[in-house]
Order: sequence, then structure tokens, then C-alpha cells
Amino acid sequence: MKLSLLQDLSRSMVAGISALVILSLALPCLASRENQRRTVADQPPTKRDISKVDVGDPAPDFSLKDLDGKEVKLSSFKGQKPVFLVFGSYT
Amino acid sequence: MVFLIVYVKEAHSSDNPGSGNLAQAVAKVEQATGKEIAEAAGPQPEIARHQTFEDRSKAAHSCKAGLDLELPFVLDNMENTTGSTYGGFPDRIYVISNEGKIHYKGEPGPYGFNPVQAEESLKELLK
Repeated sequence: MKLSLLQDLSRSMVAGISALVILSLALPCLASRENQRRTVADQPPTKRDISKVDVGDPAPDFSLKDLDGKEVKLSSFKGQKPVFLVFGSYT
Repeated sequence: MVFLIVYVKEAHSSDNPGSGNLAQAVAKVEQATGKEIAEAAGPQPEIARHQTFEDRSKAAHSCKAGLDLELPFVLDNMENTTGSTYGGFPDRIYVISNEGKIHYKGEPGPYGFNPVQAEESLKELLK
């Protein structure tokens, strides 16, 4: 049931985001519902933010292989569609 | 709207001797959320640190199959270039506007990983 929600991710924004909430439960490295309800002040100290980008900046381009070995270039979506990027791993 | 999962190095590889190993991560999840939620996540995968790009690809395939995801995955390179640029490790959400600019930058995970907040940002972008 919860995984079936993930199938809707690319079809519906709301369903997709809901699916991400489920995904966050499925992957132990992601936050729990409880964590999502916490305010920033309630949260344990986070690691130093090492990102080199900020809101309003042009998104740094990348060209990465998909699971079929095909290159996916972020900038190819520019002017076409917004991109919802999720970084993570199985563990 | 394009959804992309950028698969980065394992957050809790099975061979990590430090505080980031899987057993300790599971214990933390249980402690933070209660055993019921931790158990709902199911058995946890054991994946060693990626030594090669093929290892990373196998791990991503395993993730996609294990969670029955149809979302497109891309693999960060072994230098973790994209993950480093975006500060994407261990997990993080960004929303990029149609114009190619950062519209939403989530806090680093695990505590800052907040799909609900990202959803609000996305709704605002699509108004």
C-alpha cells in the first residue's frame, strides 16, 4: 500500500509528495514523521551544511548516468519543467 | 514536473565501523520514532560502501527494486561531485524552478529532510 503511493509520484504532485513522506519512513536514513513535526529549534544539531548553493542561485548543472547508463543533464529541463531533486541512498 | 532521485554514497553502509553503521542507525530510528514505526520500515538492507561505480549502480537498482519505485534514479559519480555541490549527503530535497534556479533548499538530512515543507514550496512555485 505505502509503496503503491510511490508509483504516483511522477503522476501527481500531491500524491508524489505524500509518497516522499512514506519514502522517508521506508529509508532509515531519512527523517521520521515525528522529526518532520519538530521545529528547527527542537532538532538535534545538524551537520555543517557543505552545500555550495542557496535559494535564488542558478542550480549547478550536472550530467549523471541513470540506471540504464543514459546521461541525464539537469540543464536539459531548464525552461521546460521544474525539477524535484531528492538526494539519498537505500541505507 | 520532473522527479529525480540522485543516488549518493550510502549513509549507513554495513561496513562502516563508525557511528554511521546500519545497526546503530536502526537503533536511532527506533529510539526516535518508536519501535512500531521502525518495524514498519521493514527489514533493512545491508550495503557495503561503494568501491566502484558498479557497486553504486547495484545499490541503486536494489533500492529501486526493494522499494518498488518507478521514479527515475541518477547516480552520483564516485567523486561524489553532485552530492558535494548540493550538500546532498545523507539526504536532502531541492526544488528547482522552471528557470533553473534554486527555489527550495531543504535542510540536510536526516533531521532536516522535510517533504511536507518541500511540498509547500512546490505548491507556491506552481501557483
